[in-house]
Amino acid sequence: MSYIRKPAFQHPNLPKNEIGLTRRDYEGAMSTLCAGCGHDSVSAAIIEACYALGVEPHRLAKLSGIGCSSKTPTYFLSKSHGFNSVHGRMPSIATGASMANTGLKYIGVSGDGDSASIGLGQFAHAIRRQVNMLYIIENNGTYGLTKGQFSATNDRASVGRKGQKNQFDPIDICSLAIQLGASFVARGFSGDKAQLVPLIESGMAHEGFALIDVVSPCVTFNNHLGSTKSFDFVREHNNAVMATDFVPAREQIHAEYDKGEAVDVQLHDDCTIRLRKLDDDYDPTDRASALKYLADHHDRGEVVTGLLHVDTGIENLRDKAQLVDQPLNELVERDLVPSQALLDEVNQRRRW
Amino acid sequence: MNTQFPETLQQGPADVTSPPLPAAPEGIARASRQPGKSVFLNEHIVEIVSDSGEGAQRCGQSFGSIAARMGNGTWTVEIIPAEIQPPARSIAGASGNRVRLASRPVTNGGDEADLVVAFNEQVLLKRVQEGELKPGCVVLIENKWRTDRNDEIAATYLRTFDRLIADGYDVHEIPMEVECLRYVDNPGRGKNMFALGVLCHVYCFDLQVARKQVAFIFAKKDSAVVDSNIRLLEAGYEWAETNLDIRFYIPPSDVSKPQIVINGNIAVGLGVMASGMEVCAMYPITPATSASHYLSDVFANVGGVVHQAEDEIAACAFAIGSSYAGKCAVTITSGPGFALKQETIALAVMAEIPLVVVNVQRGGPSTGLPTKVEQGDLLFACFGGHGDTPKVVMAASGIEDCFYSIITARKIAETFNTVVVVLTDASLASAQQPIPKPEIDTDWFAPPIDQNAVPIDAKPYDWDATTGLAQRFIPGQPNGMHCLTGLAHDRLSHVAYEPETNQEGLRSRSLKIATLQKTLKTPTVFGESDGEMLIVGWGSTKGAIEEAVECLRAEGRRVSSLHLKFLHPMAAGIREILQCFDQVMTIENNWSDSYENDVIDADNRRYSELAWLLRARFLIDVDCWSEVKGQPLKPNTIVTAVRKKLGRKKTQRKGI
Repeated sequence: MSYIRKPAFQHPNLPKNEIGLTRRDYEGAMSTLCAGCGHDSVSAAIIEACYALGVEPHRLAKLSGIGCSSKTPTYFLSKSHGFNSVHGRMPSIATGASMANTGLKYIGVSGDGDSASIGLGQFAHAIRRQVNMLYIIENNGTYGLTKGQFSATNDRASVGRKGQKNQFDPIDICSLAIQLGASFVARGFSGDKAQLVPLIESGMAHEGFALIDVVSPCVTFNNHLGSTKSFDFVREHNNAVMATDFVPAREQIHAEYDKGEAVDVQLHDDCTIRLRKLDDDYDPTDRASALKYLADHHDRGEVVTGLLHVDTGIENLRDKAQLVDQPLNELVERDLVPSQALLDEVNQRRRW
Repeated sequence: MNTQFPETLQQGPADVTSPPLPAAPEGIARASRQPGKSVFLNEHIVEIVSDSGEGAQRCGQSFGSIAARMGNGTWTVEIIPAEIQPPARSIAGASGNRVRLASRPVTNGGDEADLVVAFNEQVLLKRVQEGELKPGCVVLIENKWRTDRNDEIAATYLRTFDRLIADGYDVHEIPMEVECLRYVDNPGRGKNMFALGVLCHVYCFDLQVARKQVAFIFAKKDSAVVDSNIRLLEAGYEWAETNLDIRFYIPPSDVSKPQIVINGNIAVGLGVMASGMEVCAMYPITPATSASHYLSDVFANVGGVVHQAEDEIAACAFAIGSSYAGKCAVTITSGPGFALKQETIALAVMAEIPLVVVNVQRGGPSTGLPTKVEQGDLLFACFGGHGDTPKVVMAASGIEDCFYSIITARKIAETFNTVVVVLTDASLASAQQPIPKPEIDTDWFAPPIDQNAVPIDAKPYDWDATTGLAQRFIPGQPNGMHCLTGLAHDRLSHVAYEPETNQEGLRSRSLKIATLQKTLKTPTVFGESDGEMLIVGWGSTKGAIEEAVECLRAEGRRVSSLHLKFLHPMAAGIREILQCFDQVMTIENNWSDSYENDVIDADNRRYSELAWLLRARFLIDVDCWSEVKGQPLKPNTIVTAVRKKLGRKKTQRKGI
């Protein structure tokens, strides 16, 4: 349906955000995914989050690999830069881009095939390096574009559309990310936009690698009875451990909460994530207990959602590489050519 | 070439055709040179071989550096065992360095060795077996094995020693460890400096220059280590003065410009810096890694990023990401890594992102010969990638050319928004020689990318109908927003599967290569512009081929050579050059079938890679000669192959 153009007309009284843009300004082309696809809800959530944050579209780059999920950047933020790259290689392209231009925000959109199979290595290393980006995995447990093969995140108990048995245990993306040191790990559900939007806002404000694994059912190949990635199954087994509110810097916090009920996590640019525990046993700042909780509840057939782990005290890749504040692509000859004195010093070490 | 084993010439030109020789430096005459005993030479090839870890490589490199300091033209070739720590005294474990030094600049490692220093007879046998020593070669050998407590070792040594003498080698025994023991407790460490001292005396080098070289290579160690090694160097020098009656003097070459001694990988690294690419992505791979290491070392001072990626694919994709975001990047690899990068190289071609890929070729296929040279990736570089992936392929023909090739590559990559592959190889990577110190030229720097707002509705792929070129917008550039894709796309970068759109996209990407071709200069012929045979080569074989051509011409053969820097596209005018010769033959360091095998005929013969390209493009019956021994081609080997091809008749008309 990419040939169907959305009308350019906008109602003059549409609400505007702080930089004077409407929600429509953050939309993209008409989706070509199947009607009812979970991924379209994720695109809508991204649009909502970027509108609410007042993101300047041209200061944002969206990157993706290959797969249904990776097609979605066309369907949101059409006024942003994008790169729909090759299968499983988006993490390294995003790593390179984020080093060359630290001035942009980067959103990576990937799927379970893209990140848990062909690109698992790259995905792991982007986490390990703490690339400064929001990385969304639209996880449906199946290869939609190639017509419904099991993916590596499909639960062992989850059967195929025609009753095929899945013989292998799944890779749990969130557990893997926590284990690898991701500093922001959340799981959302495409059927719960109220939960997802503040997670996306928080992830974009986080300085470091922010992962959101969104269970996003495939209505065509993996939404049947017996699938653990169907809308019905996830709704029934959703265990939201943490409610998340995103409080932008410009808003004063007025509401008072009882002590212990809410925890504020301060982000770098004075934004705040306000967490409210829905399960007293859960501690999002403790990696080991988070991992145990995820494993235990997965075994019970639950889908644990919410902000699962957050650590704001990390050093991201830009810090590790000691990059200058100015984006590398803006440096000119004057900045780049070392002084004669410095060259002499370097050369002196190599001569006698 | 003219390196016959030296007759004992008494202070006179070794070769009457050579230019007049300058007098030996004053210092040497005063120090110890015994007039009447030194043999004046135009050039010599020296090898130092030992077990791995005994320091022959360091000795050889130092010897080469000192020779360069003395004003000689030099070229060093590493002798590398396959394993990091092969067993001691094993034939397979021979490790060391070959140094060719001459009274003129040299362009290749030359033929067989004239003098060899061996730390044991087994590593020496390796070089004998491989035919790397000239008949009558001077052999300086550690003789502690003669009295080894293990009878078998002593017997093996004696047997080999006698055999070498019987075969006509000029063998001299050196009591290296015995002598070293007079100065140090552990002669295993440091006898390479004793050997260096011996060589410095044999080649009439200034001992003070040698002392400085030793102090330099141990600069990071404490002064006791420096002093001890200098003492061993002096001991070797003194021992040779007293006990050895061979001395050679190779006058300095006529070099006036300041020189730097570097290998091809450092030249690549310097080229990366000079071109203004401060972002390099790599994954460790032999023999390419040292280029990135050099950059990493220097970037620590002058600024820049060397990204060690998780794999070769990620390294290439990182570089593409950086180039996409507006900072042109390079990725440096070797064959197996280059194979892995094909996927993302094709992405850069499709999305028209500038990228420089350096492939330091090694023997293949698969893991192949990781430390050894081959020119096996030419066709792969030109035609790798599924679908039509037009890109630029160029090859560096020498160490200095490694430097300039990278600068050219970046400018082409950014001008044409495409991938430029620079092919070097293992022989260039590790060979060291003095080259003229480059003088910075502001033309080297690519102009900064225009990041001003582009007109609203400007198209990201507004391909020019004639040249295929389009202005590129980078992320962050106002109004330049578009979504790049590896899928077929139209001028707006929208995914498009329409027949005409795909046709237009492929045409435009292909036209860029033709447009570049219009800017290339016709390469010049080495030798006369017509004759019996034209040898065509590419890459690191240039020096050896041209030396062979000189030799053949001196024999009266009407042979010339042509060396190609741009392989894809090829410059205009090459067809006309080829047509001026009775025969055309490529000389390459890669595989080609030989008619000597009965099953091979004109219908099934697989040609060398450049020969395929020339045959296909010019419809000329180009022959080829090649070998894949993992060694740089020797001038004399080429001479022999060409002589055989030309036969006895001096003029053989067209036809093969």
